[in-house]
Amino acid sequence: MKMQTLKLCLLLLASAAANAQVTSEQLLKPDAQPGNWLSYSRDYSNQRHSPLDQVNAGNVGKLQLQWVWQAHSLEKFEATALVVNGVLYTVQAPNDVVALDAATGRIFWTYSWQPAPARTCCGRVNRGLAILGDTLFMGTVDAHLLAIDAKSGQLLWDTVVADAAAQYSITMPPMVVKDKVYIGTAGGDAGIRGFVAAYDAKTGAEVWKFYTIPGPGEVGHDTWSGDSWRKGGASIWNAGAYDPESNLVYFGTGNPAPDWDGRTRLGDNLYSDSVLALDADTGKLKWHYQFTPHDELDYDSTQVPVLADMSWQGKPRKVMLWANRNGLMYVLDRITGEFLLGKPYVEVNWMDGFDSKGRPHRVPGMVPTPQGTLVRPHVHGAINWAPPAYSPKTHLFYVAHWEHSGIVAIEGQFPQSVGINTRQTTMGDVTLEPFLNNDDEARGVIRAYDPATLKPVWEYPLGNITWGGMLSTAGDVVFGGGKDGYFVALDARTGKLLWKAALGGQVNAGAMTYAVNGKQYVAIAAGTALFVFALP
Amino acid sequence: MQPNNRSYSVTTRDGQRTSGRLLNHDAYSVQLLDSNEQLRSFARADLASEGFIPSPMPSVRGKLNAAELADLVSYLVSLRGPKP
Repeated sequence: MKMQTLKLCLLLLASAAANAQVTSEQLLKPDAQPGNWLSYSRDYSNQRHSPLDQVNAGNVGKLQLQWVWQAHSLEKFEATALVVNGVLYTVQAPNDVVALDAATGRIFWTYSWQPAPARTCCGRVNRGLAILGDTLFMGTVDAHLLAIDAKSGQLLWDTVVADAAAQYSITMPPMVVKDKVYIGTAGGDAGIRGFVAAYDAKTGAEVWKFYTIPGPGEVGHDTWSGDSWRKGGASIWNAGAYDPESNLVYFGTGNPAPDWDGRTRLGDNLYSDSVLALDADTGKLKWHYQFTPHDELDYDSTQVPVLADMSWQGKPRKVMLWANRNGLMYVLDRITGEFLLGKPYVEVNWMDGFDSKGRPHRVPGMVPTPQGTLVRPHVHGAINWAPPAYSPKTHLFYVAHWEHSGIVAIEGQFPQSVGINTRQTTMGDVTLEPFLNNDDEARGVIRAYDPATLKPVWEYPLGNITWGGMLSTAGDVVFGGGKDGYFVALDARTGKLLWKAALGGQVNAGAMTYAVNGKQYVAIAAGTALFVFALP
Repeated sequence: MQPNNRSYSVTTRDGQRTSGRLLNHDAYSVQLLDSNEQLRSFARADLASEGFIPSPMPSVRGKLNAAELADLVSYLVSLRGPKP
């Protein structure tokens, strides 16, 4: 067949190619498109602060439901949606991607991935997507990284990140920087060897891979006794951050394995429970800070890193704010990794201070025992994975977390909660339950902290614990929610309740906001549905 | 032809015409992937007219003989993307 004829036919078959809708430059400057929400936390700093202010502290009380989208899934809805030029993209757990009209909630297309059987610790969940050009990226619970055409919903490439049969899975949102897609895996509780890897956004080919547990001959390998490094966990299963000026990507790492018994993995167990600063182009480690050396309490440090530029002791400083599962809040210099400040933000009894380098001083005996040990915070921590927010307007750090303690005992290889707070072991759920806890047991709270001192400025008590994240807006409103199914809007400066909605299902995600045709919308997942609000 | 591959056209009350693949519709709205590969949603209340239209793909009748057409189909069938 003549090539000319073939080309003609193929041209006829193809639709006109549109310009790519999200460039890497746009990802660097999301404020230039305030109506869009282009990445998990809207920008690389993870501030989850939107410049939109149509909905503000003066009118948020008039918010009305605009539309609801019901997921065909009984899994927890943990994803934060993306919005690009009026199209909302989200994930129907475990791994269906859905494109919706952001103004009406009507479906454009659904892409369905059928994952192979995979072991996940805490539900077959997914926290969201990334986008570059016209391509969406998603990690799957069977440890694939997929590229999907944002216009048609067709699969473009499929890269196997790790072996699901070896207990690897992916629940985190990918991160795109320049021409690379970054992803890590869950599975630390099951004894994997954690890593984060960068892939070519066009082809899915691996560019670099950084193991979170150093191999033989590498610095830090001697922090693991015997062969424990091979299955030491330290997985990366939550969103990372990026600092364009230093070209560093940041990821938090999970607990060492086995989780609650450190006798087989003597040493600090680097780089578990740490934040890693890696060169975005090469994956070379620039610095690390370990929050909980030789953890035996499952204090994953996979919280979302929040980057801020602030005055520190009278001088400008590029910092990283971190509310950790271990009950401590931190301020680090994000360029050098220097420990600037750390202090408990809930009751903590496993440590009683820091040395000059920021290494925590452990309280002897605060480890699980067959008899049980009262630990504060409990194994679920003061916070788990839910994203906080930071407002460059109020200069406050907004964190939804909970206060509790529990008695942890080892029975076989798995800890049992005994004594008080035995009901607080759920890893989140979908439906509402009667709330019958007594005063001794856990409670949730939304607090605003001054990053310069890490002292709370205001507090809004939640009726129950929370797995919900935070959203801050230029309208001086912060949004949050909890296990009791309420979605709340608070005054960003005072914490005063301005508005609430009972959504009938647990809030297990962070809210986001966007605009279409000049109208601002606020979206939150609760139960198994996505709820979208706007002013009348 | 599958319904989602048929061409659809909407014309708003101010005279703007958009055509593309029909992706979804309900009592109040219509969703298209338009000819510029943009996902578009229209409120039916804003439309003056709508409906299926002939495919914009020109006919190959008379341009390809039977052998060439077979070659083309054979080539298209050979294309394989990643598994769905």
